[in-house]
Amino acid sequence: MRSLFTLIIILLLAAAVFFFLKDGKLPMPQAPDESIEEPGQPGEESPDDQDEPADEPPQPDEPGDEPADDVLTDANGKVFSYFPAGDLLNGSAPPSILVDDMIYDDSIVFPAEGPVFFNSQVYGHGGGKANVNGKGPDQCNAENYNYPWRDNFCEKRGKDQYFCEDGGHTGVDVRPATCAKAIHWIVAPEAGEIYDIGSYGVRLMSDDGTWYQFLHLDMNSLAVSEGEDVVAGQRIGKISNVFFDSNGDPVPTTIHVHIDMKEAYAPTNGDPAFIDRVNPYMTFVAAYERKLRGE
Amino acid sequence: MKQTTLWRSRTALAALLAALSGATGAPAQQPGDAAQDDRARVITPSRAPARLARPQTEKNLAPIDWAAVRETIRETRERDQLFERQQQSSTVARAPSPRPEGLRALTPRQLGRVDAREVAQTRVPLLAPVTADTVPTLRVAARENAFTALADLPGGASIELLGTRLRVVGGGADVVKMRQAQRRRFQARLAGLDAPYVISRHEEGVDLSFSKFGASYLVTIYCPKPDTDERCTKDDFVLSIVQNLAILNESEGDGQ
Repeated sequence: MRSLFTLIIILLLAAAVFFFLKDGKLPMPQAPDESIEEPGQPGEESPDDQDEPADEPPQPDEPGDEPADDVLTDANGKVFSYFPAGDLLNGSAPPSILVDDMIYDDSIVFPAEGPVFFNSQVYGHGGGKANVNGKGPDQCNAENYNYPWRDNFCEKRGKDQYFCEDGGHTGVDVRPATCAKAIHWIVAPEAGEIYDIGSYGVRLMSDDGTWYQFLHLDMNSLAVSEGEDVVAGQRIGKISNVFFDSNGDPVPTTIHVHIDMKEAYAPTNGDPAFIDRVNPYMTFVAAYERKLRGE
Repeated sequence: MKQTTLWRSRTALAALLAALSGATGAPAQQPGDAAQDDRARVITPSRAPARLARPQTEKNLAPIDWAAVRETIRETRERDQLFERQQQSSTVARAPSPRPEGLRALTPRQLGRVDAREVAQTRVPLLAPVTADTVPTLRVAARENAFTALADLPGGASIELLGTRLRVVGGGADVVKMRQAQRRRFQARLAGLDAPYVISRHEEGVDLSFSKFGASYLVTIYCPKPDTDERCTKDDFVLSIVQNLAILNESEGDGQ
């Protein structure tokens, strides 16, 4: 009888906690409006799969904190933060990885006009392996559209590179400011030549001997043509989700741009240099910082 | 009896707490301390530039050994002459042998789509994949210190050859150490070029990177089906291409 009484008390307490958590409003910072104004692009068609973010985004700062004066904020007022290079999402890293935190060029223009978010397209919300970390099926989940950035170079894709065995992802995946395709521009990080335009991407050779590839662009609205010389900061194309399967059939991927960067590297002047698909993550972190500082 | 009641109470409470956890959307598999660890690693840069705290690199020009270019071409020419003599002197009918590996000099005029003005811009030994399959579509984009040669291959595949004499040197001590350790694995050498190389695979195909004459080169075969196309799954195809390259600006090294 006493046990039954104890159980009833516990149930009543638990029910009280339940209703508080379910209906009570915990103090969370208001997420800034994620949409950005695109000059000259009013009324552009939104994708069918464009949704408003489903959940409240996780915030890098403690709830209730106002951005400090000395932090970097993007055009939407979000505080920029990032995980270190090589700190891949749980379960997405291959067994062996070269943590490449090099800044290969500290003078490039950041290759996107608006705020962007570096994170995994495969292991994040909406990705083919989202369930590895208990993520959901919605690529527009707010967690995908928030800081901190997360390195995804070398992410496990079942291929073999000497710099990350059983890796496969030889670039970084970058989501645009909002979960909408064919709106957000990527730009040339350096002056050079557009030497190839493929079925879903563009390749740029810089005057300074760096090669960039931008994939999953909206090919109907490219701002460049093959053989064209471009200057740093010049618009190239809009981030989309264009992709094809091995049969050549169109299969949309998540809305993002894949950027890879090839660079000749030598540890010392006495070593021969080899061209590698290097990790551009910290080069882009540094460029983003310069952009947010207005440099 | 008393123990059974207590057990039931605990079970009911556990079930209730589990339900509560689900109702509030708390991740069932993510312990709080893991999230805490995650947050501890996040870097929030300040407005003040922090470049001094980061490892520095420099980009410089590697000297090109044009004498080695000429020597490699001469050696190939000698091997070709010997091969032709052997073919002509053979009286026994047999299947044609593949020609020896090596580097052969061609001019842009011999390659329909290659723009001679592009070739003339570069100070890098401009190597190109020249086979019966690549010649019809081979084109070149060039800058003073870098170039790209690309061509289509049958079945929707393509080939790209990048070359540069610019190089990034240095970086953090850990990266330099790891990169040097990796280089020790580049034991294999390309026949015909006598150059160290390394092969890597990725989602689009296969890369072969090598260093020769002071310049750096990367050959990529892009396959529509990189998991099943033998041009991308095996080393033979990319090796056969790289071991029979042509140089399109042999005269660039005249007087050097």
